Amino acid sequence: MTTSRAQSHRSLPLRSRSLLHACLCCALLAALSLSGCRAPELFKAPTECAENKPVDRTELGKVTWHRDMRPLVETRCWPCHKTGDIAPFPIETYAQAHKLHPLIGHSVRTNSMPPWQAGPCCRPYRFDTSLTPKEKAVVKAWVQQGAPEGDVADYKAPAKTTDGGLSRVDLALKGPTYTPSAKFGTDELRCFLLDVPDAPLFVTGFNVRPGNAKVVHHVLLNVINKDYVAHFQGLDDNDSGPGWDCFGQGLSAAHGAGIGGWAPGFRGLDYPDGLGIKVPAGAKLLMAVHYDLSGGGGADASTAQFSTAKTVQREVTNMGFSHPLWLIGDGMKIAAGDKDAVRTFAYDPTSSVGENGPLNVYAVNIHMHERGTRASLVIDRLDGERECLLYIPSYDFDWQQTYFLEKPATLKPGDLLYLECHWDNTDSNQPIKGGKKAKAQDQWWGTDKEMCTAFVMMAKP
Amino acid sequence: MTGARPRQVRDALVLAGLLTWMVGSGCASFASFKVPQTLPKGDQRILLGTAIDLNSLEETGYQPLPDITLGSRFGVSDDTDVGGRIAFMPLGRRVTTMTLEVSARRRLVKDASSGVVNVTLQPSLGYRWLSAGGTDGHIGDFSLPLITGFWLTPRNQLIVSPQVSLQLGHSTGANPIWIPAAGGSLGWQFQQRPAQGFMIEASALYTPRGTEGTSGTVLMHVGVAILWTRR
Repeated sequence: MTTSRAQSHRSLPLRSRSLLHACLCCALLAALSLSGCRAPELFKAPTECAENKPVDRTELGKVTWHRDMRPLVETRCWPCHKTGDIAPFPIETYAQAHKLHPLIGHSVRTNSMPPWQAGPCCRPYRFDTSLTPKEKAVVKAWVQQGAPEGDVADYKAPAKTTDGGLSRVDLALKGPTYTPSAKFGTDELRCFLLDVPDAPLFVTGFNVRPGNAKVVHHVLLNVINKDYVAHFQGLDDNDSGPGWDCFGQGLSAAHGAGIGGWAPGFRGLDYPDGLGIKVPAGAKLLMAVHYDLSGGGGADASTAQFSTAKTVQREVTNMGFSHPLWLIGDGMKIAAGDKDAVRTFAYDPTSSVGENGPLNVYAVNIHMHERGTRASLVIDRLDGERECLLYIPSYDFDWQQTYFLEKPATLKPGDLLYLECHWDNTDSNQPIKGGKKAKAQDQWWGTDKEMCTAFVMMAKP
Repeated sequence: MTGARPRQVRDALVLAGLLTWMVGSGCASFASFKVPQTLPKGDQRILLGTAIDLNSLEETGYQPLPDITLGSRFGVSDDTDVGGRIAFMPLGRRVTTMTLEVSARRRLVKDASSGVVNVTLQPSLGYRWLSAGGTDGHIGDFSLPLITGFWLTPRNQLIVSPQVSLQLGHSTGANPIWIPAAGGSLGWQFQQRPAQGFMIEASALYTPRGTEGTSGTVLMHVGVAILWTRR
């Protein structure tokens, strides 16, 4: 005799039916759990490419200041290392360079200068300030040869860069005059709320003119939506002097969109054609100025410049993403003593930001704190391929920046943005606090603890 | 070159709704649609409901997340019944969740003279699977509501249910997190016929877990359901 599954089920006694339901539930639970437990493969950064191929220094012959080094220094170092600028010393003359040549050689050998954290062989970026293998070889050879001066007649002025620059200024918002003081270390972070008289509008490009280049380390610009203007105005009103001390204060998506950041050497930029960031009616702009007083002092009144449009073809989204569980409880706990703690997160923004359509990625950034050692942001393609967006082999909290892709990368529905952060939480890699290196402690997500966030500037194609 | 050393950016997290799939969609609707009367031995009840979950996390913009619930209970003795519930929210790749829950109810107090007041304990175990933008999350839950019903009229019952719960959340790339919560729900049941009733329920649970700078999160849930009882 045969029975259908339904008949068989109905004929079961009550207890057996409950047991069957429980077993089905357990099987489903197990299947679902297993489906979510696949650990992603950690990103292996590419190491071989033309831009990473070392140059044989012996082929360079004799290297001199005037013929080889001076044009290079003017192009790569002068954005900061000029009299009156933010760097603690200028490198403008042969005498200065000769005196500093061991330090110059060390900085280039360790890739600490010029500050450019993106590793080679990932992808090309705009405004790339890193040295080419040949330039590195020139510096190393010059230092090795005793930093010779050479003949001033050999000097040829370098070609001016054409990358970047704000094409026009439609709106210039000058911040109030403020004299910074050392609030943490030699630094202060001061925020100013700026009126936008013509809002609503779209920002299509930006730049910053520092009022006092000796103290302005970097500037961040952010939209503050109408609903939050009163909150930030209150912070301003409650702080004596112009603006307010905003060290450690945060912004979220609800507050408004990020416009971008400026640091010495940045010449401003136009967003790609047809793209813009919305400044809604009633909104204001927040200008956060990081002052570094290690090289000088004095008052500053920096000016934010914008190109604007009343309409744009596509609105830019500046999305920051982190694993939601990292933000809660032990979700991102990094144990004290862990030499290489790793956390990863993958997410498909086309399902939300892209409304199930493709997205173009224009700029990326990765943010960790002082214990961060390396990080990657990668597109995990649906077909299994991986495309590197940003790889930072040696992370330095002090030199974070936004990396603008030379050509936008396209995320298709189903592709994942994959973020991978590494930390060294041993005693040897702790920040200096109060003049002393702190002892390693368990770390969680927090302003004064650790973070791992990728910022991705994207828009629909 | 832009944006060096952004202390300000430390917290400038544009979470873009990502938190919704964890806290918003994950936590509020365990142990929901609570009724204090246990089913007599051999009776069966079917529940069909729909609910909206939302939470007080600022980053999510208070996005309401709907789900559909199907439940069933069986009376195993005069004061005890067991049951299960499945709830799902099929919103495609953006957010899809499925909840499975089993529970037992033990009636503690029944006003023998009038039957006006009923008190029942309903320990429950739940599991929720979440998928958003290609990432999976898993939440286990233990809830212990104390369900107290007051018959205001022969057909209308007010139900007050204080509750504690403990959840364990896990997702690849993060450490598991424990989410303790306490709160309660307020329900109203209209018994149209002996075999058919309707109920509305609203619940709020507070957990000290929240994002940095907040004092916790309130998980909210509002739902309506229809209940059929078969003797």
